[in-house]
This record gives sequence, C-alpha cells and structure tokens, in this order.
Amino acid sequence: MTPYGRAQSDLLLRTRYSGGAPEEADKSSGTAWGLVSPPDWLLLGGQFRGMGLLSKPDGHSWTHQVILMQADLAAQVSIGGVRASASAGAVQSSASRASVVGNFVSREHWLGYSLDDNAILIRAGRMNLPYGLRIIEHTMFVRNTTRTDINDAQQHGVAFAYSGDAMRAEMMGILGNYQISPDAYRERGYSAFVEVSPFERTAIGVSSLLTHAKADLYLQVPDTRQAHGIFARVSPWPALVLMAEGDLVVHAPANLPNQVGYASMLQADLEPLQGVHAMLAAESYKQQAGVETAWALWAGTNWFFAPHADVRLDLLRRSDVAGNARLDSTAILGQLHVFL
Amino acid sequence: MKTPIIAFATNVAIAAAAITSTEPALAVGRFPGGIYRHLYSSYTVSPYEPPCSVCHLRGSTGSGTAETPFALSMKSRGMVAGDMNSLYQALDALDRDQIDSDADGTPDIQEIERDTDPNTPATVSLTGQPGPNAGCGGGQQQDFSGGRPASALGLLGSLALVWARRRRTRRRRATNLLKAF
Repeated sequence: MTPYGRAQSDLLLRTRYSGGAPEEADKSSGTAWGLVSPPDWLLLGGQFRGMGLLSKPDGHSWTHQVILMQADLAAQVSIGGVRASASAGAVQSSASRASVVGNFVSREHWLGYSLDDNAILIRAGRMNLPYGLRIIEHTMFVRNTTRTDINDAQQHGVAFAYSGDAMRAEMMGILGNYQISPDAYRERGYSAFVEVSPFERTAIGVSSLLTHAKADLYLQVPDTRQAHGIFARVSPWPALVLMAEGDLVVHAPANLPNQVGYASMLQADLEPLQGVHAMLAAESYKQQAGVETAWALWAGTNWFFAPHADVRLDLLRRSDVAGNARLDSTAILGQLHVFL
Repeated sequence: MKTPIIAFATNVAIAAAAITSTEPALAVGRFPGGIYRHLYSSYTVSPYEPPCSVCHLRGSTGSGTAETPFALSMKSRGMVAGDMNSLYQALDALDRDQIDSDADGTPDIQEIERDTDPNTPATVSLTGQPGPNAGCGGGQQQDFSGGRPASALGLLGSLALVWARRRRTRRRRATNLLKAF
C-alpha cells in the first residue's frame, strides 16, 4: 500500500473513539504501525487473515474448523518507471493454486513499467486476473465459477492497465499458472475489464475472459472456458454502497455438450458509524440447463476496530448443487484481519 | 558409517520433505479405504482404492478441501469428517437416491464401481489420471507433455546432501594435509 493509501485507510476506514475527524493521518498508519520507515522507492506490507468456521449441513450436527487463510509479506521496489513487486507467505492448504512448495505460497510477483505519471502500467508476471469486482469473498459464485478470485486464482501473463479519472481498464494475456502442473492444466487466453464512472459515486464496468486448457482442472478434458459479465458499484449516499455483478459462464469441453450457465451477486454495505459495516448479500449460480440453481444469502458485520486491524462476522445460508444433489447448510464465519 | 553432519543433513532433508511435501496426505480416517471396503463386492472392474482427489481438490487433504461435486453430494447425505459410519451411510444413500454429481447420466456409485471419475461428465479413469499438482516442483506424477518430474523439495534435499559431502571431503583433505606435515 502506498503512503496515500495508508493515510486514507487511517482517516476514512477505522473507527475513531474520541474527538472529531482528524485532518492528518496518525503516525500509526505507517508501515508496521509506523515502526518502520522504508525509503520512498520501497513499499513494504504484510497481511494476516485467520478464520474460525462453524458449519452445519441441514439435518446434521455442527462442525468447526480454524483456517489460516493468509500470512503474507509483500514488497514493491520503484526505480524511475520500473516496478518490481512480490508477495510470499504461508497458508494451511498444501494444494493452493498459489503454492510454490507445499504450504508456501506466492500469490503475486511481477515486473512492470509505469508511464504517464502512473496512469499506465505494463506488467509481466503472476497477477490478479482483471475481471469483475475485486472482492475478498473468494467463495462467492461470481469469483469462484469464473476463477478470478484474489485468493489464489492469479495467473502468469502480460498485462496493460490504464487508470484515469473517469475510466480504468486492464487487459491481460494469460500464459497459464506456472504454479500448477503438468502443463496441460495451464490455461491460455485473455482476461479484461473496462470500468467507467459516468456520475459521482457510480462506476459501471464490463469484463470478458476466454481461456483454453488441454485438461481443465475440474473436467479433466480439453476445455475452452468463457466468462463475460457486467458489474457496478454505486453509493446512493455516503454511508451505503451497493455492488452487483452478473456473469455468463460457459464451458466447451471436448467431446461433451457445452455448459452454459450464469453467476450473479448483489451486496449492500451500510456504514452507520465510521469503521462499522453491516452487510447483506445474495448470490446465485446455475451451472447449465437441467441442473438446479445454487444460491446463498450472507449477513455480516465488519469492524475496523484499530489501526491496521478489523474483525468480521458472517452468517451464511447456502444451498449448493452438484448434479441432482443439493446440500443446504448454515455457516458462521469469524475472521481476524491484520495488515502491516 | 555416516558422519554426524551427513546424518544431520539427511535428517533435515527428510524432515523438510515430511513437512512441506506436496504429495497428498492420508484422507480423513482413511475414507478411500472405507469406500473400497464398502463397495468391494460390487466393483465391475478390479477393485481399487479411490484416490483422495475423488473428494479433495487437487488431491490435498487439508482442512476445507473436500469440495469436489462428489464430496458435496456425500456431505448432503450425511458424511462428516472422521466418522467412518457416516461414510458408509452416505455411500448407501447415494446409491439409493441415484445421485449423479456430474450430471452425465451415470450415478456416482456406478462410476466408482467402473473406475470413472464421478466429478466430471468426461469418461476418465479415477485411478489412471495424472491429477493436477500444486507447487512449482510438479510432484512425481505423470506429465501430459513431459513436464518436470522432480519436486523442488527433492532438489533442496539433494543440494543439502551434496553440500554435506563437500564439507566431508574438505575435512578429509585438511586432515590429510595436517598429517603430511
């Protein structure tokens, strides 16, 4: 995160317990709560995200899990227009798509060049796929079924990004995820989005993705995968943000019928007090005609209770579908997130 | 006889391999063996123990990875982690309800009895497919296109052994040199 981003996080994101809104960010907004002062050419950061999960399929008893989702360190070096960025960390699963060896992961590592006062960035390496809403809820159908989450769905490739006042866009040529093997499972193609802001507090975008792999990760046969969608972020008044996305999700596996389905989501985020968020979300996914629709409802709260730290509690009612089976379940998710 | 340093390097390599290996660990309560035992008599091919990947994404048996369509169906019929009886009951329920997790027209239990993957409508073998591996090393499984067979961990272990051998050779040379004087 840049110093500007850190300052905005401190001024706008976290709860203030006394006094009015300060004009300047607190010193604790700096790297590692201000304990570290890296030079201008170096950005340092880190993320910890742990979760306690209680889940209960209908008709059965509660089970619980504690999951280490993220424990990453990250750094970015800027020399003139040259940018080099990398993250490294550990997760609980040894089968992450970002795994380097076992539980050791590197979600992003790229080399780039910035032009036009950072309005243009050209990068090569492992990066988030430019597609749809960039949200942390990686299990949401719109992220999960399009395989574009920011958890571990990054891929290697070359990307061109533009960021202007009223428009931002990125296009990435996907060369495959070189942290899975064999090569047959690597997808090649493109992913892109364009987002415009026609009015104040309103942004609307379109996304498109097309890839081909000799062996799809799940279908196990050659597959051409497509996703095309629209998304929007709207804030009718400052304390409320609405986000929505709808995607067409298509698979064309070799020697099998095409699967044409969709994924959608709508989320409302209300911030009654600075740093305290109440969220409601609904989502759905239909894999293909003839298969029932999966859906989920979320109700949650997120509290940015201290500098660099927030806790989140979600109640999730979900109905998953696999062929002609349906799994209805209830889950309670508690998360702690700390960043350096 | 191994010198202490070689023994140490070997132990470190083995310990590291045990901690960070990308090979799948045993599934909860040996569920694959439970599937084998429960369906043994009805297999239409030579009976086999299904791979962990029948339930776990990319074969990892880590927490929260039993997310394949077949695993979801099993959970919908009452399978819970660590409870072998719940596995047997879920297998019976899948058979009774003719659950078809990949919607290909062949029920899951029949797919397992025929050694085809119940997670994909494609007719692929459960036991014969080189599943995807996570990690740069690529694991030890067969590659569709002649990929790297050795894991990064194996490489690290080999480097540790080479380093230890070179240290031992240097020590011997130094000892011989001292003896010469």
